[in-house]
Order: sequence, then structure tokens, then C-alpha cells
Amino acid sequence: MADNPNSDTSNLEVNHEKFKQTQDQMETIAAEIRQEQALTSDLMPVSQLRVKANYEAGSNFDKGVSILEQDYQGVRTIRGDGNCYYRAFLYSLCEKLFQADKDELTRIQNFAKNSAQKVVKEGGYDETAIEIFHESLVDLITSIVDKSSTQQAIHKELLEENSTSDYCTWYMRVLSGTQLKAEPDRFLPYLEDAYVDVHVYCQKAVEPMGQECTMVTCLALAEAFEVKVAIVYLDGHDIPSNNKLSTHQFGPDNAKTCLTLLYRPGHYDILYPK
Amino acid sequence: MVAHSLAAAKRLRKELQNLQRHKDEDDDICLIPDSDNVLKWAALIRGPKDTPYEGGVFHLSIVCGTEYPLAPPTMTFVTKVFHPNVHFRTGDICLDILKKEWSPAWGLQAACRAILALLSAPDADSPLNCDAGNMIRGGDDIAFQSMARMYTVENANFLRWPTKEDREEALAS
Repeated sequence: MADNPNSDTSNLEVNHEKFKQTQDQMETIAAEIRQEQALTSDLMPVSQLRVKANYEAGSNFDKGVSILEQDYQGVRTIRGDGNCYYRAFLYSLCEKLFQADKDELTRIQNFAKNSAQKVVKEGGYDETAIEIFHESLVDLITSIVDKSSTQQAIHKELLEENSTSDYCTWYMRVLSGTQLKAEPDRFLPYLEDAYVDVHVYCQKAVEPMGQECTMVTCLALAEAFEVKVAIVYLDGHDIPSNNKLSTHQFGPDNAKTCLTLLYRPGHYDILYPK
Repeated sequence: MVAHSLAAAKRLRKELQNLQRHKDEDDDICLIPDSDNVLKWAALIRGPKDTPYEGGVFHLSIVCGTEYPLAPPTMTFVTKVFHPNVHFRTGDICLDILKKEWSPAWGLQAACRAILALLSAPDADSPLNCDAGNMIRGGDDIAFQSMARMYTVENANFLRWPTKEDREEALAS
């Protein structure tokens, strides 16, 4: 190839053209998702999962939904834009705060308030960069704690594009990143092979919006908030003989707040236990 | 409740304040806000040492949407530059942190710093300027260096690097 520069040039141009086409296509898909999926949906019956995803009758997914129907009264779907775990965590946390006792409310509120200092000091984030995002989360949580917002008002606020939901979602990324950076030796072995440094991992895989989270970041966010996150797997695997879907739990066992999320390959939604 | 539609302006004013506080630092980047529109900026950057861009002063245009800083600013070279990752005609820049690796943790100053790093370390595998990319990929570094040098001399020698007073005045708006 090297001795025929012309063909190399045209190859490069073809490659570039293909790259651009792929990029355009991805942007079109992203725009469609924005159009069709709310940031956070209304509460739906679990059976809707089957309808929306068009699971084949008798498939492991179909059977899995039947099992979910026994234990869960509903599901709230989250937009599939690569931010779903963080957004699901945020929404579910807000809902739980409406039922939380005073101690837990105070604890979470204080954590949010004091977190700015923590992410600057321990996470190495620039104060200017995080400020409006931190304020957005504190305002949101404070409006729940001091009862100036109803649950309905919060739901509506979190539906707005380029607003509270996105701002807080990015701040969730910063909190996850800070947690990872606080214990690099503990988390490093769990990062994908390509990463040799927690800081680089955060910069490339945690901080940019739209980058899907991995197990490590799920864990980090649960630990940052000291809440328990139970993740139920509807992943098409054979149903175990005990007729339960496999579930993983992160975060402290004695946590007062427990969020339940549904995992389907590449995506997270919120589950509502009966 | 935060008015998020104003978040871009708020954040950019904050960045401006920081620049005013640290106006003596980072002598290779000079950010100039548009006096009428806080979402529009210009930047002058100095070609890095030991590159064919050394000695040149390059003008960048910066436009932030109302989704900034959640979405990246649009940054383009106004000064013509011969570089594999800069479109020769439009000045578009192919840099991951200005696209899918952007995060609000970056800011205008940091983005300019990343562009300086790109000038020092061209990535021939994702070229916007195929001629420049091919020279590097083909191992003809002399050709690339002399072309880039020629365009630097031809296009990037007209702007005077702003003095301390110029900078103060530009940021005073």
C-alpha cells in the first residue's frame, strides 16, 4: 500500500466518508431516541416490558417478565442514551427520599451539600466546572427535604430536557469518579483491560455524558451515597430452578435506602417491589 | 430551581472570572470573550515549540450552544493550518474531547490546551486533511514538516501575540 500513495489517499477518503456516515447514522438514532423515549417514563405494569420489547413468547426474556410480575408491581423505563444507570439512580433516590425518615433525609442532604468540597479535593475536579451541577443536585434534594416540591412536581422537573435530570446525572458521574479516584488500587483490577489508570478511565468512560456505566461505576455510586442498590437481571439466561432472576446488591448492607433497578443487556430501568 | 437555560451564560461568566484572576498564566493561550454575546469567544494560541507551528499565532473561533457545558463548544481554526486533524478549508477540528469524550469537566481553557497538544501530536489515523495524514502515515515526515511550516509562515505570521495590557483589556468587558 505504501508504494501506491494514490490508492492510500482514496482509501483514507473512503474511510473518512464511511466514518462520517456511521457518525451521522448514530446521531439520527440518538435523535430518534430523544424523540420517542422520555428521560424517565410514567410508572407502568411490569407486563409492559414484554409488549414494548416484543419478547418472543416462551423465550427466557418472556419467562423472566412473568417471574418479575410475581414480585414487582411496576417498572419505570429510562431513556436509553447511555446515561440510564445514573439517571435511574437519581430518579429512584428522589422517590425514596419522599418516604425516608428524618435522619436519612438529613444524611443525604448533608452528603449532597458537602460533596462539592469532596469532589474538588479528592476527585481533583475544578470548582468552576462542577458548581452549577452541584447546585442543581442540592436544590433538587432540598426541595424534597423541605417539602417545597411534591412528588409530581419532581417527576415533571426531571422530564425537562437539558435541565435538572441531565445536570444531576452528570454530577452523579462526578461522584462516581471521585469514589473511584479515592481508592484507585481497589478499583483498578476491575476496569476493562484497555485502562491502566483510574484517572484516564474516569476521563474517558465516566465523565463524558452518554458513556454507559460498568459494574465498577455502579458500585462506586452506591458507595458514594451509602445506599443499597439491588440489580435484578433480565438478561435472557436460563431461568434458575428456584424460579428467581439473579440479583446483585451493591452498597452497605445496613443502608436505610434501597434502590431496585432492572438490568437488561446494556440498559437499566427502575423496579417497584410489591 | 436553577434556570438551566441560563446555565451556559452563568458557567461562561465563571470561566471569564477565572481567566481574569489568572491572566498571567498559560501564556500560550489567550481567550477573548465577545463583548456582545457571552456564548461567543475567540482564542489565540501560540504554535508549540519544536513543531512546524512554532512562532505562529493561530486564531480559533469558539461558539457555545445553550446546552454548554453539557455539550461541547464548537471550535474551529480561523487561521489556515496544515494538520491531519484539521480540515484545511473549513478549519474543523477532529478531537475526541470536542466530540464524544467531551465532559463539563473541561472548559474553554482546557479545550484550547487540548488543541495545543493536538498540534504537538497529530493523529494521522483519523485525518480530516488526508494529504497531511498520508505524509505522516507514509513516513514522509520531511514533506509533512515542510508543508506545515510553509503554511505557518504564510498564514500564521500576521497576528501579534497580545501583550499583558491587551489581555487585560480583552477580559475587562
